[in-house]
Amino acid sequence: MVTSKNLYFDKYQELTALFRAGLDGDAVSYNCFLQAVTPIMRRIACRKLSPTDAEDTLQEILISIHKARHTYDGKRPIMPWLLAIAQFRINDALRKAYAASSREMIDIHELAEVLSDVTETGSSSESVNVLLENIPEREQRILTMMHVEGYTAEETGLKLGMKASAVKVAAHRAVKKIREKF
Amino acid sequence: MSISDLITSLSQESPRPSLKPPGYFAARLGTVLAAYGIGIQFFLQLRTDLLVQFSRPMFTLEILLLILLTVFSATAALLVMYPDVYQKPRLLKAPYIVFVALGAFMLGQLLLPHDTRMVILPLDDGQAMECTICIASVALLPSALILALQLKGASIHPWRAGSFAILTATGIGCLTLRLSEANDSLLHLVVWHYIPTLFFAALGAFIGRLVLRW
Repeated sequence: MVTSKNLYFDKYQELTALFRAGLDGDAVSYNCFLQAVTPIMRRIACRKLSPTDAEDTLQEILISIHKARHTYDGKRPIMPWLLAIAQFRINDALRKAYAASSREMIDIHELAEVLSDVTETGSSSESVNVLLENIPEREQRILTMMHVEGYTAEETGLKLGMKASAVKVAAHRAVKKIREKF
Repeated sequence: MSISDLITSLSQESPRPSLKPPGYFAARLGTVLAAYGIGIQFFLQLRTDLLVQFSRPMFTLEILLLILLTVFSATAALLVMYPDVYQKPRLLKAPYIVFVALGAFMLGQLLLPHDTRMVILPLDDGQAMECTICIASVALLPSALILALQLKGASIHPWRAGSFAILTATGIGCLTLRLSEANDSLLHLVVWHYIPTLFFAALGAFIGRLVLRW
């Protein structure tokens, strides 16, 4: 009878075998194991991080798997072990990203170049709308609230039901997109 | 460096022997800690009314909880060396549960009628700060030993690993001191034994984060 447990072991048996052979000194098997693991880890990283960050984190994950290889003895399912390491490194990357974004300040003068004269004339208001029209609606709302209506990140977060750090990240991304376009 | 270059360079490194299973470390660590605890107890000496105290169920239960706290913390400290916690994540909750049970048990005793077999010294007459210092001193060596052992692994919970290591060590300190100090004042025990234990565990979390990087 095929149970879900059997299926699990069948699915990752090859991966475990390659890793165990690698632990015993077979460099080719170990190389194959890392090659096989890479797309799985990439998929997991891409789910939580931007493509650039995901590639960097993927490298970190592979190095961590390599560094922690002695903690796996091949006697227990391999996927929980791999996923635990991947999750650890992804959390690290997220923590770094949030810390960096909370330290990073958006220079008001820099922003003024992008959103110049927002309140002066009707035509400049239209130009702001042009600037904002190619970014997602939520980011438009955040930029408008923070830089036109004068709300702080905390207040914007409260109004939109987001964390202040998430608001700052979204605002930074939006400005980046506008800068790239113009 | 591209991913394929990284994989090539990683796979060319020499293999590393596998870490032994937690049972192996548990047996060795258990033996060392038991010997250390007995040695410390020999040095501190047992309280003269120990047999009388053991006839008191509350004292026996407290000692039992302290033993459980030490054993579960040591188990958790060893399991957390493995990134996947050796696939026994539930055991990491055990030290917290025992500690909460110990706290509730101590506070619960305040509601019970006074037992005449209890030796109660006034709060300022007891050794007070000396007790905390004694627990810390006893815990120093086992903490270093467990943290050194944890460095062999690859913990993805460095905070918890550090706190479990220190909790194990302070558990030994509390246990040996409880068996030697003739003072059953609940307030003294809570203020100078168990609250500092909580602080030491928090300090351990901080140390774990600093030390257990890989």
